[in-house]
Amino acid sequence: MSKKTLTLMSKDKQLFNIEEHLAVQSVTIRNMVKEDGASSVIPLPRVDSETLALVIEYLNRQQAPEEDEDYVKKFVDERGEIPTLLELAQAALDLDIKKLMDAACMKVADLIKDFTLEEVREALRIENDRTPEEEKAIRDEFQWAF
Amino acid sequence: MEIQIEMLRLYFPGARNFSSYETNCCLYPRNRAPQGIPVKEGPRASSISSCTDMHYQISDSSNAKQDRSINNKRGASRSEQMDVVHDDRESINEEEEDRISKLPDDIVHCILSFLDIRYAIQTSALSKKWKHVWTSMPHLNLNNRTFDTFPQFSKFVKHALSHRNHHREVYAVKLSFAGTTTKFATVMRRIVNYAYAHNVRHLTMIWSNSDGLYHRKFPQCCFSSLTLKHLTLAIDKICRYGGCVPIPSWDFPALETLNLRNMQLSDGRGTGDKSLTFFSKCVNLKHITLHKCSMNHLDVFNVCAPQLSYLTIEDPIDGGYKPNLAWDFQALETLKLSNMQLNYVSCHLLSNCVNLKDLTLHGCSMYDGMDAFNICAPQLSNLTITHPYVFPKVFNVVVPQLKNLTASVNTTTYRYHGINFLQLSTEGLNSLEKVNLHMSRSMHELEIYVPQLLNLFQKLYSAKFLILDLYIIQIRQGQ
Repeated sequence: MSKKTLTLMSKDKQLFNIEEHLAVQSVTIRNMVKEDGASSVIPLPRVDSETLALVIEYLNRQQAPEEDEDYVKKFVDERGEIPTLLELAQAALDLDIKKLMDAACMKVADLIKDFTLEEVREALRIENDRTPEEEKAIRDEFQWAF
Repeated sequence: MEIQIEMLRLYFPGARNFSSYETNCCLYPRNRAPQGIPVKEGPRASSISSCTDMHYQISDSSNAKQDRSINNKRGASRSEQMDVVHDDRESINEEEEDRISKLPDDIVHCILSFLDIRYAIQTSALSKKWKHVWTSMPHLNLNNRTFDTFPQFSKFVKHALSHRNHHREVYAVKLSFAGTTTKFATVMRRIVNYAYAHNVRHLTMIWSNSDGLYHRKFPQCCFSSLTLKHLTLAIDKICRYGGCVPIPSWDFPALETLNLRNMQLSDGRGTGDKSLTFFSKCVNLKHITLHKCSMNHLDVFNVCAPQLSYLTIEDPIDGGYKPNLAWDFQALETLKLSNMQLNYVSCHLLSNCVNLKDLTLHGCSMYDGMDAFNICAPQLSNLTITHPYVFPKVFNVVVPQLKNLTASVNTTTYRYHGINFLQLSTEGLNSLEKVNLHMSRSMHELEIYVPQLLNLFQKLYSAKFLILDLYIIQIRQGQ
């Protein structure tokens, strides 16, 4: 029996082939395959090609089930940059690959857990849209948590 | 061609640690055998030389290491490349940046679910949009050690729960705390009641030891929920009494997974009733793990869990005490028992496990004055018997579907009272594929076990792969 191959297309129109039985680890793809056989190219308009290449690498892993957890952890550890991890989490969310999303988010959590608020803003690229007075008001409102 | 061996000698170069120096030795099919193994021609050609397609396996650790280091290098170079790519992106792609700043709530919640809720609440100061992000988080991780004093923690819990968005269900609660029961009872009740009222699915409570002298009692309100599916109760540090949980009165109709660590299984009322039925109102229990739990005041450990498919009992406290296990193992698929003394009654449980597929007995004592230890499991495909404390006189195994057998063939240390070598009695292991036998080196009078080892080989004739973890096996060939 020849293995069926699917083609995924990234935001920047690059094509990636992957065997169907591996691709269906993504619930999104599984549902697409169920619905229409997904014979043609599956577009992923929110995933860029670098991230999709990582996702494909992840889906192609050949780990024994008992080693899988360690592999996933190592896989995200090697991509220790927060922006890459967030891209990966976003792709995993779109494709509904829970394990990958959890692992990427856990790694981000691990990286930011000792950050100050200012460092978190920088890491997650959040713009502080409050004035110092407004920020103080928030801290006072939730003073039991600070 | 039949080759008789004159002598089979096993010897161990004692200088090295076993795990770092293993020789996986393998027996060849007759026509390819460079050296012989005694063959007894029986009616079914029952000799190990009829093993088909055996593979010679040598674990070459130096090669493996090399491979790993190559992989590491590859990984490193890839991440270096990625850094370069990423730098490009950072500088040129503003659209990208914009998207990252608009993280969907699902991802933010997922990230925050791995952090303490105090931290999550502090993110409300990040920006206007973040003010309410935490209020709809489905995961709550609470830990009183992030506060200097207990009143601060108590106040925090009160505020956090009242500010949370009440329309959002709670998915998981993890509560880690240190201190004594009386102090925490109110706070614990508040948290647990909130969680149960918001249809919590996972509840984990980890209690760090502050003083080892008293039972830690979880309040009664913790043990009744219509929605809870996974419950973990743990005492963090080993202490004399562990935690006390009033199990018989539990009412968890949806509960599927239960993990208890360092708990004393009791009736919770101190009535000394020694034959209670546990979990009778938890009809959906499928997984139970009991780690370092004490059953030492029970005569009968009577468990009613008709759907139980996975059971692990690890390192029971007072392993020397042996309550009779009275469980219904009809639905059981995986059973792992470690460092347990299996007595006569408990052993009988294994004589009728119709659905059992994996059985592991690690560090168990299986000799209770009885002649035979019976394992009858028509579906069993993996059987592991490692580091036994004492063997039974004979293992009667009726396991026609067995595929993988892993066993230590001798006890780790020699015991004068008890059986030190694996004696297997089978009704045919026709489906056997892989056999992994391990013989520890601290053996006394090794030569006396050689006939027993050869006898064991006869039973395993249908194996396709045979791995012997012995130090070195030397076979001298005779005429």
